[in-house]
Amino acid sequence: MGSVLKVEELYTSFQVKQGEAKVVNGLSFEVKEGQLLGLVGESGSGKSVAAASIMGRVRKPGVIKSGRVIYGEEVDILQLPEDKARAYRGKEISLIAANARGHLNPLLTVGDQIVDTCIAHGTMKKKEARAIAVEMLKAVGIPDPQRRFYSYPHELSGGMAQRCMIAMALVNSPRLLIADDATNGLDVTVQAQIMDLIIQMIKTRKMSGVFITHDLGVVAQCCDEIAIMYCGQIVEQAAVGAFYDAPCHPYSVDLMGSLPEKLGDDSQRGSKDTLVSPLCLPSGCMYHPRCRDATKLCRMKMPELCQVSGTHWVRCHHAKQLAEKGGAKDGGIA
Amino acid sequence: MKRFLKDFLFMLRKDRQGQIGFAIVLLVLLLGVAAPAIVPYDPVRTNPADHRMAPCLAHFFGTDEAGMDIFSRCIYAIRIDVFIGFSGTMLSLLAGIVLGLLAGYYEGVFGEVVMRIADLFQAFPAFILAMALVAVLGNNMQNIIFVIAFVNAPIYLRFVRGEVLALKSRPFVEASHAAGMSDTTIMFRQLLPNSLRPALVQASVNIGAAILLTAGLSFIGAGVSVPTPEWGSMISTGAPLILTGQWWCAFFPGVSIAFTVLGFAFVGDFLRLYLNPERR
Amino acid sequence: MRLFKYLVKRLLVFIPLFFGVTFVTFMLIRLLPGSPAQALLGTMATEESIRALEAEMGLDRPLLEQFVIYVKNVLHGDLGYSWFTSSNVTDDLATRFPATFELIFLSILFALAVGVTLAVLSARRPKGIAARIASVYGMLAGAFADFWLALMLIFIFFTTLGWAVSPMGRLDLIMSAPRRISGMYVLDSLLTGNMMTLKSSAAHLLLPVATLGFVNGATILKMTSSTMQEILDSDFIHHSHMLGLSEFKIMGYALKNALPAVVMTVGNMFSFLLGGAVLIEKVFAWGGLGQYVTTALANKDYSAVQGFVLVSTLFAMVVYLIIDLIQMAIDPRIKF
Repeated sequence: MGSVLKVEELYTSFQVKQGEAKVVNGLSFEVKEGQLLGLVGESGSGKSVAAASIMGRVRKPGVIKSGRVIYGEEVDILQLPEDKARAYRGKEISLIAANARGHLNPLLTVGDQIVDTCIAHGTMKKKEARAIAVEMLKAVGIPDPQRRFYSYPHELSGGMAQRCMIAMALVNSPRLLIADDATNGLDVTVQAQIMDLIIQMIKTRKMSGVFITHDLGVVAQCCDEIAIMYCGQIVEQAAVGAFYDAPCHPYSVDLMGSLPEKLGDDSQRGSKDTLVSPLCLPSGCMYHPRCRDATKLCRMKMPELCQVSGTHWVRCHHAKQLAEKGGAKDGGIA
Repeated sequence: MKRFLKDFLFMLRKDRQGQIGFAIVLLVLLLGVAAPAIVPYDPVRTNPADHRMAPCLAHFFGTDEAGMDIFSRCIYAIRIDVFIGFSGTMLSLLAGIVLGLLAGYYEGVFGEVVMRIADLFQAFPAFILAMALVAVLGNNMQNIIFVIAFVNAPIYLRFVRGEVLALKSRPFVEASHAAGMSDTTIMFRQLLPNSLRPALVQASVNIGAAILLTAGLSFIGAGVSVPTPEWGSMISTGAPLILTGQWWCAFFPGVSIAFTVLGFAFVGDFLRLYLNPERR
Repeated sequence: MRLFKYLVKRLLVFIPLFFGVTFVTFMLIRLLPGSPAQALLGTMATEESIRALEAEMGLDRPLLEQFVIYVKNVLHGDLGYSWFTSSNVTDDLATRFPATFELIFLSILFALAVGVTLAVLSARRPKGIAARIASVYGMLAGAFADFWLALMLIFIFFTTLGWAVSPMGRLDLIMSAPRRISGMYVLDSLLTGNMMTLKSSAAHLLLPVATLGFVNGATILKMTSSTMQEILDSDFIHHSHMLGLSEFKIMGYALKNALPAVVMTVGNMFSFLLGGAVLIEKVFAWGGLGQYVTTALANKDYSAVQGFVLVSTLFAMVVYLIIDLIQMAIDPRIKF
């Protein structure tokens, strides 16, 4: 299987008044052809910034410091000049975000916006693009697409707008779709519909996908692989089955413990209420201020990702011990 | 208070334009206050023998048609122009705040009436209205200040009222009602401090505009009149001389205006940043 | 049909405002110190002759009755006559208004071209040359008094270099106006194919338009710049980048979204400059509306002042209506 996206040692930070906020800190992962990866982290863990960095463009005052983001086999988008990089965005790799209505141009009809995206990446005539746009609106399940083509974003419901955004993302048949919390803020029933739509589109079009979310349940349902993100780096990565059977990293364990169905469970431990600010990252393992099992080593040295089994990688000094105990279910290292 | 000052100076230290602005304003104010000690000539003494003299060592900015020293007049004019611009703006700010607070708080008949009156006066062309008011009241300094306040008050009124309307439905104000606070307490303790920001920023920018308005009124003969040293009327007397080549009579008063207005504009820009709640 | 209904509604809102403005003006000018009869007859006039003239002018009647008579006349299309130019106020305004309108229309066009271009260029390259020019220009132009700037331009281009035509009026002194169609000389010259007046009127417009355009361009620049910045920072622009749209296209998006704010600024400028250009009119002896009302105020020429206020409020109403229509055309979120 070929690789669609390879992210290597990505660092992104924001220059703010109080100093440098290091949001993405050495993010590395790979998405293979046809694979669905779930990137999970709590709010503020740098998920959205990571998504933008992968697209090769972060909002001011953010700066991509270093790293490689390789599309397909060879192109590093971070090395390309801005005008060349544009050719890949929306064509090879597409992004859909939460709050679709806020991400659409309020003064243009959704149809025209799809047409604009279409024309930006091809030599197509406006008329052809128009036909494709209507086709695309139909494909994402918009009723009466001929008429909806002429709707303005403010005339659409949140779910409808999200569908239009998906249509814009997919109109140029990209190989990879990044969904950045794409169902956030929608009604629960609509959320499920949109999620189904995204999965279905990815499957039928033989694409790969990266789901960025804080919802472990969603990932369990539809992804092949899961990566847990903390402080802008991956602390645990595994096949979905293996992970849910036995999460190893203390942070993953805490995340799992905070799932509603687990609340009240005796093994639920919860983490310490310590906030870690990207302005002032802790030394050593970045989870140590919140980890109940932190040792002196954790405070001194940043752990590497290490393999605990076939496809299961964990960034923790005590990963081996945790894995041997069959995950940390019964209380971690004593 | 001390913390406030420290924070203020910290911001200012990083803002080059703000520093220049404060420096200009301070310099202008200082020159205005110390005018009698600085100027080499009596600003209203005519000397027909030395009329229309080009800038030279004896007269830095030259002399005008009547032989009055333009440098001395430019410095003395600070006392007129900056004073009128500043007090006119402050007066309009005060009126705008009080009326805006009341009009926002008592939204009903009272608020409506106040707003319609504001509409009415803003429907007039501002400059012409100012001219007419000066003509009605008579053109002395006090009246010009009042006119500037009158013409500008609706601007602040709208700013404050808008803020008050937005704040009024906020939980903390409703909680004050529930706690049985009186109207005046709520207005002055809760609403007033929270609704001033946009009006204050606008006011700091508007001082410059008020100075320009003062000069404009005098230029057209509806403001301070000759021989009182005032930039607008100086430009007015210098205007015909432009055609005969004596540029300095109009040039220097205009530069004084630009310099002062620029200073206040920079200070205004700085305050806009400084008072921005999203700054921290 | 919806548009028609909207227009009627706007008109209905305007009527009370219009009466209010007329009434306030009416009362305000009667507060002017001194009597117009006195002003007309001079200081030597006897008490009796002043009384007689006042009676003739209708000034001896109760104020309210005078007001009712005036409004009645206006509704019949009669704005009265000016006691000083002793011509019909309607005729006076019909020559003054086009003069001022031509001046401010071209000035605002110039200001728009300068302001919007600089704003877009500096939004594209926030650290480029255009951005630097824009920031210096924005700072300086706002600080200059327009009448002073006009004088300086006259000194440089007329007195010293001799490139510009004499800053007196709208045409060369020896020339007679082109056949009257709109009253705007450039337009009328074009329509009647009169090359001589076209050249002369355009030459006379050059300096005043440059002055007003330069000063007001800064206002447009600042407004457009700050709006563009806000928009370029918004979610939808960020997402447009994510879709790989070209920079040109994205600038187009941003400009279109900034347009309502720009249109609003331009509208305010129009209604302000109709009277506010008076200082420039004075410098260039333009003979426009502003100068007309200034003299009328000084002479206590009641009908003339009233006529001016009437025209300028009407003009402002039309301008704001046009602004609203344009904004509705641009922004689908605004409804009738």
